[in-house]
Amino acid sequence: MINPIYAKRENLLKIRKEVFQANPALPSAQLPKFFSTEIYRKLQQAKLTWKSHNHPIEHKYERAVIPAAILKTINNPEVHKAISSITGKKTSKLSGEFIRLKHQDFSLMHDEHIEKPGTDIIIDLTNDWPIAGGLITYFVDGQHIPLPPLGNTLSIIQRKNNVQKYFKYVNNNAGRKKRVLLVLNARS
Amino acid sequence: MIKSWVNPKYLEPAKQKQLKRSFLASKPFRHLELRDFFIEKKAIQILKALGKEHFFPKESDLFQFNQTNNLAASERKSIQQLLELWSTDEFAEFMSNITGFNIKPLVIDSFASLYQKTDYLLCHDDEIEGRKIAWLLYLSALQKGDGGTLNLYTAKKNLPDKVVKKLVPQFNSFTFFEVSPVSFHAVEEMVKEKQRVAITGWFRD
Repeated sequence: MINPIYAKRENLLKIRKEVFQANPALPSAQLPKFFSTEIYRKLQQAKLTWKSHNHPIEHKYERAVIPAAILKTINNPEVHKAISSITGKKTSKLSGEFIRLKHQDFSLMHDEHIEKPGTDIIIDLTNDWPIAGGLITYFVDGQHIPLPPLGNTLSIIQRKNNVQKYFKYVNNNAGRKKRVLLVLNARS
Repeated sequence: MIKSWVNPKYLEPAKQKQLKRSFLASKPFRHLELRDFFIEKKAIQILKALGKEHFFPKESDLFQFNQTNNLAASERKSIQQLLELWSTDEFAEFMSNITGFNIKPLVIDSFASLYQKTDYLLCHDDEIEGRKIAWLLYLSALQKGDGGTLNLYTAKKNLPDKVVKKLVPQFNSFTFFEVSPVSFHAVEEMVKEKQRVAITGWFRD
């Protein structure tokens, strides 16, 4: 199901201490090669119905509802155990949506729609994304902190008060390539 | 002072009346593009002076480009003279004649920007209290297909709707528009390995 490295408690505690807790303003950790090849392929090949999510100023990208079978897969106890061990908090059901970004897509931060504090779980489903934007970027204490793109990586980000995130504008280096992400919320 | 800077054709009263008519009638919101605006020698001097200024990377959810500090801090003589020109009664009168607004002879914030491949500024309205006219002095020439155009949007229910005009930057063109809640505009992403250099600022009334 998941990479055996992330099934060992000692490894997870090491990640928690040395990575997740390294930046108190934005506790976060990226876990590359997270799923087994089979599960990763299953996530990539999920049959989805994409819908445009456009606003003239605030955002432009596509999103899709997570099919029940995929939701079941990502809510596997091994996944929950890995996340809880790193955040130090028990998680209940992971839920969220698929996001797809292509050239000229973006989202902006919005003063009137600030997300409540929480834990984001982001699963990157795109291999070899070029240097083309489309990065999930966290705005923390005046700094813009992007999540490096890497296929089959599970990112855990703990958002504190007034931390906002956005999708950086996808530039023409993307060509016709599309970036797919699973953006989830881990409720405690 | 204005005579030693601005192309004499723009200083003719009859020409200014014509420009005012064009400005007031322009769509999707009031704007004007004045090509060959400065006496060419002056524009070249400014471009050379900017080459010695430091440009800092600027990046947010809305934009990505390089920019100088407020040019009021510049120690280059030609830039200081340009800022002096913006803030003269003569230039304020010139802008007032064309726009119909009572422009104050004062520019307190102006910056030079440098856009390179993949740089952009997404759609916004520029509205900050006191700003009446936003202006750009282009110091590089681009062509269709290079990106870097100034895109003007129509508005629908106070939101941007469609891009109906794309202004391709031309060396020594002075472009300005009325700042309002619906003056939606953007700088299109640069897609070629070229540089887009401009000075931008605002007039108040």
